[in-house]
Amino acid sequence: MNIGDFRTRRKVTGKLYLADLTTPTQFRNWGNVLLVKQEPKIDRAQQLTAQKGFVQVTHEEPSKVDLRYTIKFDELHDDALALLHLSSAATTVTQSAGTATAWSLSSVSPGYSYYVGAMGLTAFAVTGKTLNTDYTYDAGSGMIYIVPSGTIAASSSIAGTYTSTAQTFKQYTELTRTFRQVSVQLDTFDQATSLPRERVTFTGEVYISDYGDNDGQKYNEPTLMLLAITAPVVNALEIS
Amino acid sequence: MKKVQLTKSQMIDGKFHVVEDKKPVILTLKTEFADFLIGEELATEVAG
Repeated sequence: MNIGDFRTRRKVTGKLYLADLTTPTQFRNWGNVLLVKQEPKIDRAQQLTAQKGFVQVTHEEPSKVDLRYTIKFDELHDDALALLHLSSAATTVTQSAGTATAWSLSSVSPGYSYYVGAMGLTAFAVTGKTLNTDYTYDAGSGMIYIVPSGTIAASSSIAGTYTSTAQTFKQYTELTRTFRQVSVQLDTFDQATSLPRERVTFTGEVYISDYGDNDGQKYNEPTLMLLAITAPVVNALEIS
Repeated sequence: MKKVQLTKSQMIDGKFHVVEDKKPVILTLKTEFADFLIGEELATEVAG
């Protein structure tokens, strides 16, 4: 490659693949990667030499090498959610569909909200009470609100029926796994070739270092930290 | 407290109780709430 060739410059995007150490060749593609950053942190021990009235740094050797990569992504698939929620793999939880299911709440008070027991309501009623006068409800979340000016007194019991659709949830239990040890393959691509310009492979630890913002204005973009625990091997494409 | 038997499957305080023919569901509830469910015909009183 000649000096001055446009391919000497690096303008790349990344693809991240992670695999469990128990199945190190079975990778999960982490989807759209917005930022790839190699971020080694190196502490150096300085050798000082006395000069005339001052000391001069004459040698530095690394005293600590902390080799890590920062990855920003925006696709919250199952693996990402598990890390974000400090959880091991999710279990599947289902809500059965129900038609005119009877429900009751033992003690409700005006001004408060209560979960009736199911989400995704297609019909809902409180026996003997009037919608928007005594109560309101949110069909999606299954929450009922007791209107203060209505006829439902403090600490009273209410009952009714709802019809709900079947739902499936992925359930994560927090604090069951705070990081993962993984087999890492990090590819970076440019516009010069369809092959990765570089492929980095190593065994590492991975965790979420920045959870991003949920502000309703932009997509949540968490940051993943990859700490290398074996020496990464970098295969850079040779350009003739 | 009062002991009641549910007359049909139903959601009570966010928990679903399944009533099957040979498997009655008997709960011990606060008397006021038990009486409410009996009044709504969602449960019947059980002795003891």
